[in-house]
Amino acid sequence: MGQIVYDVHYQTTTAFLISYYFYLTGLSAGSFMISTLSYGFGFEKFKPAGKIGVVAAVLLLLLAPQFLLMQVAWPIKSVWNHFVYLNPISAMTYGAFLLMLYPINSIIYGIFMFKENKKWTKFFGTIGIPLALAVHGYTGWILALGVARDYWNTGLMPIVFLFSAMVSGISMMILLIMIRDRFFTESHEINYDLIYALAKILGWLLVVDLFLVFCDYSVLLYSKLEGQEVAHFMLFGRMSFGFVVMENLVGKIIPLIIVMVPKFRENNYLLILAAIMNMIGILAMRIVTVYGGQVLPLM
Amino acid sequence: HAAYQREDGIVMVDPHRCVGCRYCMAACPYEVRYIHPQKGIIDKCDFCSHRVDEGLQPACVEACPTSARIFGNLNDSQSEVSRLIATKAVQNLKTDMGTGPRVYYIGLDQATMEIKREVEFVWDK
Repeated sequence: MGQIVYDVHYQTTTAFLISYYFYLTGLSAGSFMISTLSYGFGFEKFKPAGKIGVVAAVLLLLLAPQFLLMQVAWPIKSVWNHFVYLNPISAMTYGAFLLMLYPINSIIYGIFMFKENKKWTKFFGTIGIPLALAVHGYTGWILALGVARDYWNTGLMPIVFLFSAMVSGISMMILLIMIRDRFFTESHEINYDLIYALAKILGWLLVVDLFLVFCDYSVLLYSKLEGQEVAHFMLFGRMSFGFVVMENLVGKIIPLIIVMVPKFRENNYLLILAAIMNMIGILAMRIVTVYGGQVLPLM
Repeated sequence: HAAYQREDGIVMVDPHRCVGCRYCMAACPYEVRYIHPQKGIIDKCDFCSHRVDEGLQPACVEACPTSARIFGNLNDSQSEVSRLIATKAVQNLKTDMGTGPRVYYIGLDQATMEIKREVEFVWDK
């Protein structure tokens, strides 16, 4: 609007720090979900992923808000003001409290897990699942509430964010479990049962993720003019390398083929490549969504 | 709670509450918010509220050589702004966003804006 009526250019917010914050929160939520597969839902097969999952989840979620604080011009005031000038109808209030609650809950859950206390591990794991969904769903939700931006303003946004969180989290878990088993165990043997089970989940989540992207873009392409423009911008414009090549080809389609074809999946190097590519692709997705979603001038 | 509306309708940013997260910049349908380079908080046009409080006109209104900008009380039907709105073809921007805008443009038709956009829109190429 500013650009059109007044010939003044819109000052883009520092989107990269926000992208990293979203990315790390996603990785954290994803690895937390994997750790609850055995300790919350009782799938014994995934038990070896429990402890490493919760450690990764806690460390990543302690790191993630640091990027948020770097982005905010007044970091200490930003924490303080959330309590002093509490606004119950602000979406960001809930995000801030989730960012504080979720790591605390994860730490308690982790402590009980390391103490082998099954009952309380399950209890805090069960509380942690909706918290993990909320803390990452929130990142998509806060973008969806940016009503002026057609790319963000869709109810699909939190769901898209949750699925990309889970795929990137699983990819990270595959890599972490491989490293742990190979270098930090006495037998040096990788638990392939677990790795392939994770790879299969990754494959199906990638299918859902690609379907969601298809839904989002097909609706955008048929929506009003601003929506069409931003979809063109992503598919054919300046963002197309990030969106088409990095996010979808490198990040989703090639890893999907690798994890779905048994011959490729059982090749260790290809599986590692798929996991790394997927993690890079999801980082590209965060940058494309946060930066690309706001860079076009509004009408 | 940093953004608020004064009783006279002017939307302001409370410098003590704003922490400079920049979310409102991205969310603003008019793209008029910016981060103050020194203070690190959000700023926007506040119709020179410090001047308005003293009974003066906003600086841009006073400085405009062709008197293209008129500022006044919309509640007063005798004021110049009210008279212009009542007699001229005026338009608000983006009323569909539910912002209840109180800036009126005389003779700003859709065609003018769309032509401008076609010229400016180079992102797709």
